[in-house]
Amino acid sequence: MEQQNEIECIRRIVEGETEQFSYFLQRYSRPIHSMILRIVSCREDAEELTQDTFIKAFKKLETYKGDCSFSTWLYRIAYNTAISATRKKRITFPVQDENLINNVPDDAVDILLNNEKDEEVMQKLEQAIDMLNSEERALITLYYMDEKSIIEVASILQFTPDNVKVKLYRVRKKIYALVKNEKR
Amino acid sequence: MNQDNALKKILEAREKEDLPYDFESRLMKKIMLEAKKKKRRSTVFSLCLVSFVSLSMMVSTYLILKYYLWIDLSLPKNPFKFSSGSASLFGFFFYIAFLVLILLGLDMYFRKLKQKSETN
Repeated sequence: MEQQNEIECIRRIVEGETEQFSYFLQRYSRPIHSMILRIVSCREDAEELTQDTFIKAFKKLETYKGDCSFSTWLYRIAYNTAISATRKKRITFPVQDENLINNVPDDAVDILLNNEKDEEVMQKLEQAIDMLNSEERALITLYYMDEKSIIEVASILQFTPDNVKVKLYRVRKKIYALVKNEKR
Repeated sequence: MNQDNALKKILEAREKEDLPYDFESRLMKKIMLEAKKKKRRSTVFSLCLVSFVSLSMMVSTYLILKYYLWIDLSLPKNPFKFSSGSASLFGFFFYIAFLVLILLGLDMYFRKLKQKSETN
């Protein structure tokens, strides 16, 4: 039903009722901004990139075919815009030893990532998130914060669902490895 | 996997970094400008298309008449003959046309000025 309303709204915008676009701004500007902020880690850049995302979406609105939800389509534009910006700025991220990540036990990861009462752990987790690369940050933001399904995340990031599952599994282990490295 | 409450809590805490209060209205103004540009571009494109189609129709008509129907389309060498009296009349017509053009130009200029003052 919601998607039908959005498609109807898009049709009206394409036919010239530009003011209808404010509906999408009100609805999506905050979550889109949050995801971009998570990827670029700079408030000013995030605001500008959010604007770019919506302007790009408006320009390409005729090309939206309705094969996925409008939110997925918009998130995909936002993700690509933010990733291009980080590539242009040549932001580098620390590389974690692959062997170290592979040797992390699954149970230990579960315990750490559910230990919300330990302030010290929470602080370390926050620092670990900052050390993830843009793609990994986008992945956890979409999955945990925006509560998108694996299929939606795959559609936004242009991966296969299996690929998303593998990446999420590895990101969790990487966060654990980063927290433990920090503690040493 | 979706439980990971500690991770969720950290990400949600960061979401509180909000956008400026006038963000949506500023962006909506930009979208409106973009819509105007889009409209102008499509008008220019349609005009170009119409001109191109008209021109090609005229050229094809000329070619059909000349090379398929063998109709002589050449103009007589001197179709208009001017006397000295008609030359002065032409001068008068050009003067009137010039005046009309100036008046139309002034009208357009003042209309734009009025529009600008109204929007500000």
